[in-house]
Amino acid sequence: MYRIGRIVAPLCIALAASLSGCDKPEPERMRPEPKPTRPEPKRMRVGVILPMTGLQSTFGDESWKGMQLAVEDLRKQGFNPELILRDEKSQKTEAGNQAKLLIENERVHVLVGSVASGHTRQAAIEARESAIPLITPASTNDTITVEGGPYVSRICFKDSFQGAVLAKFALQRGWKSAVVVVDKGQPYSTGLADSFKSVFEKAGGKTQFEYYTSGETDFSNTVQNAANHKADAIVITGYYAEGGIMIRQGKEKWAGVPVLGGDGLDSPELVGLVGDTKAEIYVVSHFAADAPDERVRNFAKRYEERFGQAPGAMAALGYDVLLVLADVAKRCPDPADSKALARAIAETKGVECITGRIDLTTPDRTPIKDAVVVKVEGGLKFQATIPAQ
Amino acid sequence: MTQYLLNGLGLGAIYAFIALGYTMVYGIIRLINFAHGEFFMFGAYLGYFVLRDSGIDRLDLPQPLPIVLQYLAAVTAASLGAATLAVVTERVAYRPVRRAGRIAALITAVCVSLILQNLAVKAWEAKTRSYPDPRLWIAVADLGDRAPANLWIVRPFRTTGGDEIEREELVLSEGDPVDDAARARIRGTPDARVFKKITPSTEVAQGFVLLALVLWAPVLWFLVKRTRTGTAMRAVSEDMDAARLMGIPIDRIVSRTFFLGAFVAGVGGVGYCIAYGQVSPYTGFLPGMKAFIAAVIGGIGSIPGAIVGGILLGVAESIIPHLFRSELGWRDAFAWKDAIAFAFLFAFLLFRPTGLLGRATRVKV
Repeated sequence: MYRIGRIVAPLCIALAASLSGCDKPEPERMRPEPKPTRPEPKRMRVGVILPMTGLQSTFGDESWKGMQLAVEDLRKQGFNPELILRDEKSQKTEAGNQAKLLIENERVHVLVGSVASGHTRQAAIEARESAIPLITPASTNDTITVEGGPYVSRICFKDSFQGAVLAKFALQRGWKSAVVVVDKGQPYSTGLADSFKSVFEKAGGKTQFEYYTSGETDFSNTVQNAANHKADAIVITGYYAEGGIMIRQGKEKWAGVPVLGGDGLDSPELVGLVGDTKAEIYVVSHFAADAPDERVRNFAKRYEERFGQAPGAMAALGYDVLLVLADVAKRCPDPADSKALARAIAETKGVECITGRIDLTTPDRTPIKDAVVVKVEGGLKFQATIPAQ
Repeated sequence: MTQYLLNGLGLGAIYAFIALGYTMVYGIIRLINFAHGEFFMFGAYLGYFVLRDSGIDRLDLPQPLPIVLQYLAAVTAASLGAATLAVVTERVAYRPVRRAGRIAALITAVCVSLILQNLAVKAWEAKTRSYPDPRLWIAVADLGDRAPANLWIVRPFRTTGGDEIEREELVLSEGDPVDDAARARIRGTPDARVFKKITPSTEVAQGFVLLALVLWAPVLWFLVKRTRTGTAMRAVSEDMDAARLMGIPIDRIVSRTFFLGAFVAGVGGVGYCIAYGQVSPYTGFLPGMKAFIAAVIGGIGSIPGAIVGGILLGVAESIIPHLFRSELGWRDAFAWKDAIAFAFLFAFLLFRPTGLLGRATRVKV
């Protein structure tokens, strides 16, 4: 018996260390010999990194469906990229590994992905090191494109804008105080929470912060802590898997308090996860399938015919990222020249997309676009458009 | 404070349920069965399928009989399924290496855990599924002039994700006049039925797990102390070779121990998922890990120890971050709750390496 204690004590330390959120570097993998480059250089090879399994799997699933639809449409117009999909399994380190493998083994010309900002950051590090351009369809954390340098760009708005939208929406509704529930393990969540706070407090609102870590399942204490503040609204800046369950567990304690969230909550799973809560839930996002816009409606209809479900924001962004690439391909005849390709991406101007007009000529290669607010009512229902300016 | 204590108790009861299986298996063959959390997850999935597909309001029985039957069916399916999986695992993976030394068995257990987790990903997709809420539906035949209670319509609904769920909508709140619009709405919804709904909260679900633990503990005690199999288990635990010489069928007894341990984990699995509203292939991992720690805290090999250890760990995980937060002003203490709780347990083991009820000299079942 004595020996067990001696075995377990160090095990406890190891567990505590690994659970406290520090990312341990993975041992470097054996790299197979790089394959020779393909003979046809004109066809763009696009490495796609998405969370197809794990806690963020609907993000990957929707983005990939959007991309498939885009490729089918663009083929008719003569743009025929080769997409190579890799699953990052909703793990940060895996996003970096897959980026490395795509660059070194598959010799891709450009990387697309991932969704969660912390994961994209890992892929962006690899892209920067190898000087291969990366475009993220949906990572909103402000620092991603700054850290990544000229090779990293995105086609969605960023969190300093999204936080401001959340704050403006809350103020419009007359909510004066808010509890912000933050996922301590995700840069997206902490960044969005900070930008919400600065705008909301500047306008006279009061904020309190509560924390959790992604992957948790028992939120009874977090829910209790948030309820104790008796605020006008609860703002969840995390992702849908935890956010949805938290709202469900807050069924009684948060009764009557509206819940507000960022695009991390935008998932078709959210409706099922929140269960039978009666809370009003609003989500700020990039796109609403039922928004009063001709282009959006058309896309939603075709997507639904093709896949049998309504598209979410990730589907629209997945579609848009390929529209941008098609435009880039027109201006850059040889995608193997990564410097020219990165320059062509940064010169993208006025591409009309599903989620709005995309200009990447801004200093941080981030478009300035409108946001929408959707409400959870048996699905995600369009509420309002909040303009970019 | 009371609230945090209650949350901790609810969580602790679940840890205790899983820890029982760890402790029984360790007690008898000195194997730390890391795959135990996966048995728990497997049970939770079986319960999920029973609850999802049996449809509470499809049974024409007086309430609350349908819901009781449904939950009994879910728990039975979960515990029998988990127990069967455990017996098969023991036969296929553990028995061949039982004589090969403890390290070989330990590595096998880690492998089995990962294999089962990945099989679950393959079979049921690596996504978080919403667990069906326990609800009491009381059918309302006659609406009368004023709604007697909150009235809901239930109808099948397909989410944008493609899952078929039952969706309910509030038609009338208590005391609302029953007008033509409401009647038209009920009639206009195909396949709809009107119900009065009672939804127990997370606390009630946690309370049921605690209650189940209180009911289960004496049953286990009885099985181990007062039955032939239990006596044989204790004999195998004390000296396997001597027990074999006395004519005890070792393989059968080990198999039964696995069965019993996983059976209890299956009950805990359904309870856990109802209380926290979700299930995924990774559901078993962290609770399994923590239950292992709980078993060690209580003194691995001891059944009362597993229960005490589980409760203690659950409460520590809830209370300690709360104290850090309110007394020391660590605003984000709850984000680090696992680290804080594990650090506490580490300190505990420094002073009492055999656990609370463990003995350094004698080993109990």
